Amino acid sequence: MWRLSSVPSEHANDNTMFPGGMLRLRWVMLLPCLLLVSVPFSATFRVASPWGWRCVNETCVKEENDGLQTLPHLSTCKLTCARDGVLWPRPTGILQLGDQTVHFLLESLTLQGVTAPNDEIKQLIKKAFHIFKDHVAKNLPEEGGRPLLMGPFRKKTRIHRVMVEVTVTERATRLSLETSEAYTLGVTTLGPHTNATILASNFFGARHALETLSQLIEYDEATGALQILSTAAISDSPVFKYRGILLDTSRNFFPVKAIERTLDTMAANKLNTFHWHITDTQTFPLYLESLPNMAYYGAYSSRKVYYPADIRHLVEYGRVRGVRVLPEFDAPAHVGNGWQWTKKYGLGELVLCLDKQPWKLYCWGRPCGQLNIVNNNTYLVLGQIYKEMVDLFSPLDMFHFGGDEVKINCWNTTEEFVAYMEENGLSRDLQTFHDMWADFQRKALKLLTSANGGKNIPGIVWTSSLTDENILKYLDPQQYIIQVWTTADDPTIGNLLNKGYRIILSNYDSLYLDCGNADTYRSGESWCGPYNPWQTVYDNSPDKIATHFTGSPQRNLVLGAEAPLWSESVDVGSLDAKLWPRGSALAERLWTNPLTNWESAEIRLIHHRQRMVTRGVRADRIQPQWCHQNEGLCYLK
Amino acid sequence: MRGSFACGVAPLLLTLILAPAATTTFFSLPSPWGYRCDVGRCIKEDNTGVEDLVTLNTCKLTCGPFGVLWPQPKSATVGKEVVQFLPSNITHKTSCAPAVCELLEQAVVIFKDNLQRYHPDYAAGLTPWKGPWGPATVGHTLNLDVTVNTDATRLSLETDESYSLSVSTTGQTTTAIIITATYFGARHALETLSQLVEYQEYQDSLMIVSTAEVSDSPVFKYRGLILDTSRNFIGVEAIERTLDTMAANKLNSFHWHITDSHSFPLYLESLPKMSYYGAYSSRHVYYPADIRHLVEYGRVRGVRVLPEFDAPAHVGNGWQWTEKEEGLGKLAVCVNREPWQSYCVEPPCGQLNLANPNMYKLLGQIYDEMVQLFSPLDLFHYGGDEVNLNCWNTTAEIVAWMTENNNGLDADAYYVQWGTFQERARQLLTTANGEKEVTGILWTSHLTEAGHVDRFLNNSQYIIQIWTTGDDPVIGELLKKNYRVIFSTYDSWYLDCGMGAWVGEGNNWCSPYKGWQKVYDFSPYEIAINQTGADQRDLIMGGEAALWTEQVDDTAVDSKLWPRGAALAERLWTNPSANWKPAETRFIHNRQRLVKRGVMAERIQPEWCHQNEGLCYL
Repeated sequence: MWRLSSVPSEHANDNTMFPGGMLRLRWVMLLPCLLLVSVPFSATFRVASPWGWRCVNETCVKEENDGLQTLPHLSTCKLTCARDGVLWPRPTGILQLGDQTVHFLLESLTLQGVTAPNDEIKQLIKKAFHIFKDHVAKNLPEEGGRPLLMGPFRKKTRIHRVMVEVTVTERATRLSLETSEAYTLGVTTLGPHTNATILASNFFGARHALETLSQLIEYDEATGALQILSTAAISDSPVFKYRGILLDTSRNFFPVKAIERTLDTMAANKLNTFHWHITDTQTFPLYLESLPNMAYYGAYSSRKVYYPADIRHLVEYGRVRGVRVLPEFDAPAHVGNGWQWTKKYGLGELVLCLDKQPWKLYCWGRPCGQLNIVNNNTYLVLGQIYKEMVDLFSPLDMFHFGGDEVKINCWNTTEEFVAYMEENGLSRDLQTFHDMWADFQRKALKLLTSANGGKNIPGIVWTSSLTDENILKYLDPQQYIIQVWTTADDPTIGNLLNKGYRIILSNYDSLYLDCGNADTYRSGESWCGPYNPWQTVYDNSPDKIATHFTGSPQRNLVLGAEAPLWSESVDVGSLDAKLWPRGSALAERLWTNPLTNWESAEIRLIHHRQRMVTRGVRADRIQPQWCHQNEGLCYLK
Repeated sequence: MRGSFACGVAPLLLTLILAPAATTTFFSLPSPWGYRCDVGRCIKEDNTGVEDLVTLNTCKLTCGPFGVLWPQPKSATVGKEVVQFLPSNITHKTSCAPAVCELLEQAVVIFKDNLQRYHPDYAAGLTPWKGPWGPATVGHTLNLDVTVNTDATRLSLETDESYSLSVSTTGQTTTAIIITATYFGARHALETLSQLVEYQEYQDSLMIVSTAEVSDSPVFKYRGLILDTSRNFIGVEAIERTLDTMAANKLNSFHWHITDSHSFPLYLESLPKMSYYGAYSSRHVYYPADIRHLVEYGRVRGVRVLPEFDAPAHVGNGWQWTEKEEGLGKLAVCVNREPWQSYCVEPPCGQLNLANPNMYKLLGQIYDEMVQLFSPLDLFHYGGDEVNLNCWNTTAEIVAWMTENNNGLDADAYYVQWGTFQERARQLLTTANGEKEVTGILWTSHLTEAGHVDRFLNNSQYIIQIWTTGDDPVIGELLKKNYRVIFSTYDSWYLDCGMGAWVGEGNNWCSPYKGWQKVYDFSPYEIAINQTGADQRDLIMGGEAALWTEQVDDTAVDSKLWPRGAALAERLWTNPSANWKPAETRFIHNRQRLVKRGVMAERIQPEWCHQNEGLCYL
């Protein structure tokens, strides 16, 4: 049901309709009106659009205004029409949205009250509100970088106040796998006041509530004012605990600003883990104060380095946005550039097979490099790296050890390594190499725990030869979470679940966001092509995958999922377009775990994509804008 | 050098001792890496204690036979030495007709701006150059000496784009002598010259190759990109950036697929209702000043802005208002009609109403204004693809009209009417153009199919643009019948392929993604030889890569177009006999250069491959 009062009358003169008559004659009347504004080409017809939208069976239908009543603009319809509004990800509990909006101005949006157990939490909530208000402001069209205020506004719009009240009961200020992210949000309107009441057990739930609230607000093209849904009742909590995006900053470097934008956008989608694959064989862009040579030798250039202040800044930037910044230090493979200095400084060759040719014999992807796990100095340096990483990313609740794609032949063809094995009476069979690798992992864990002040935290490792049937021999299920990067039909998944391992799904056949470009090194498609469209990401259900192998969803073991963006053929130029809106598809799968497939989410996703673009994210288009304006007509049956 | 090398090494010795070096000063040390040119390849080596290594940029400029020139010139000798200079020390003198000199002044400004952009801290309006510089750098001058022999200021298919460029250095002066037939050759020469220049790390200056001789001209006359601004709107700034980048790659035709059935973003002063009804919003409109601006922006950069008005299909939104106008009636039929699969190839549908003569009145008016906005035209694109006969044949008004005129209702009857439409469109355009004939371009369609084409289209009036696959026998037939052609075969040159589907699920219709290698290796001459036994160089005007925008808008337009558009550019300018492999390191460097100029071009490899030439092989 539409309230006509939500449609403006302040621009009554602009709502000029075109009466019948001779074509050219009438244009004489119309033209001055159109030309006046088109002469400075400020890109706005100030006449009202000929089109409006009517809500029919939860669908916004585009219709020509008939001159008797003016239909609402698209954004008003989107807010009020469908049962789920334009909320993304869709809330999982109570969801009742009104069908009316009220208009207000940005300055009337205030944080009215904060109830929290201490001042630290109060400050966090204030920061989150500030971010929220900034996002609301971005709804306003800009001119010359400043929000463009239309107007004049009706008195009713001018005096309307939107007041937010936040209550948080617990003290948690750090995300962990035990953090409740639940919240409730109520919006009520009485006269010139709209109250938004947020209740959450901790800060993280409260900030999610602010994200949701921001999705109940839209710019109204007709009045130039903001509008908010006048009533709403929402209770919400995520289905999966771990909802992540992986960014690889070693194959190509990403500036701090781009990572900030990624964290912002993750927050807007209620994703909670930014898995930072910070180093790899190609480069070592991490500046360590105790080991400056790592970045000095290993970064692409001095401009392509993350300095300690950058890291600390990003960790805090994420925390305020409900995103854990989770570091990975991939080892013993996927190391290389950055380690060249050790030989010169008398520590020996700590990385073997570095840039060795022909690469295919010594690694899974060029350039090669693998830690020299039989030189004790390796552990000295590794411990130092962990120590500084723990300090930079603290407090850690998890750590990613990498641990994928070891090429045994690298070790087995290195003189120093082979000599060590012979001296120690080790036979050079696969089993022994795997034992040595597992031994390295045990030492790495000890070094990390010691770096972490003796506090043991869960470690994450990629699926590898150590995670096959014999995994129990190598990795303790209480200690390690296994991140699965193979395909959804890999029996390893069933094996891991049956043995009681917690897992995170990053199956490349659906969740690798780098697939489908041209191959990096030859003509033809990349190894993991084709491109994984948002529909595939959305429909990749952890429940279904676990059930397929074990007969049950194993919610206690399947912590969640993560979409990786390996960066061999991505840098800041296309980062946003690769991550979004496909990252949003992942977000709804993990937060909401909908029973339905992508089709019923499409209209909301398209709008959500527009919202991200409005906030400055260069998210990819997935359809012509026509589909956004003509809901449900871009189908294939 | 900033900071002496010897005292720079000292802190490194403290490596394992906790010695928190001030991070900012730490990295003003020279890099531990340097480069040596070894048989045309830049090899990365440890810099310590070595005297003869150079920076990566120095090596790139001077090592390969063509340096980092893109597209590869017809012939070039590039020297092995570089000299440093500052962008403030550039002078120029020109010898040319007044109208040409005026253009050249603008081209020189653009050239200088492009050099500014080489600075890693470039930001518009700022002067990032800080030095300190030695006297040799400060005292060095780059002099441009440009001679243009004719007065042409508009591009046509007959324009001579060749140039010669000679760079020499004596003492404190480097002189670049450019001699060309036309302005367009001269601006190409300036692009080439800018590619003999790079930023010099440690000196915080520019450097130029001290000697070079280039003699260059394109193999193909028509080197284009299509951008569709109807499926999604592309902002004026993004189009400017596209024109800039085309110029950097010596592409010369920006084919603007401005309208389609989805939206009508073109503001026409005589028909404002087209965009009023048809634009996505009033913010998604090209106003007359925008169009004129872009046409001129392109001209200065050697790029023809070629308009397409696609008809009689691919029309729709924007035409709704005519029905309500007394005396006009419905001029487009099947607009947004459902179920769309029955009436068009993708939603939304729409096709011009052949039965209503007012349609021609409006079409003439649209042409009138387009001719004016894009003037002077040397080519015009009529579109003419993907007509759905079922749309016409299920529209009562059209069926009645066909019947009344005893035309019949079979497919051929409709083809004949479509042919008639095209002829009337051509006449209307000629009239709009002051009775001056303009060569028309048409997409391959039913009208150009085997046995049809010469029934409907005169080969002196039309160029046919091929969008089917490279093995389509229509290509041979068109060539044998002496039609001039432009290649845009989708299996190599459609840049929108390889994403998800936008109706339904799976991957989009023309998947997979066309990698730059594929774009580079597609050779129109080879296709012609395969199908006709000759390369048909008189008939093949060139080629064009298409970016249809169902799934692209401002956010990804750069990364879809570039660097793949650059691969197309070398194919069409140079027509190399080798495949992509020997071009790879130059290509990667060119991509870096485009990024410096402000284009969000896609990465194709880890930067490691840029720093370790030749090691990213398979």
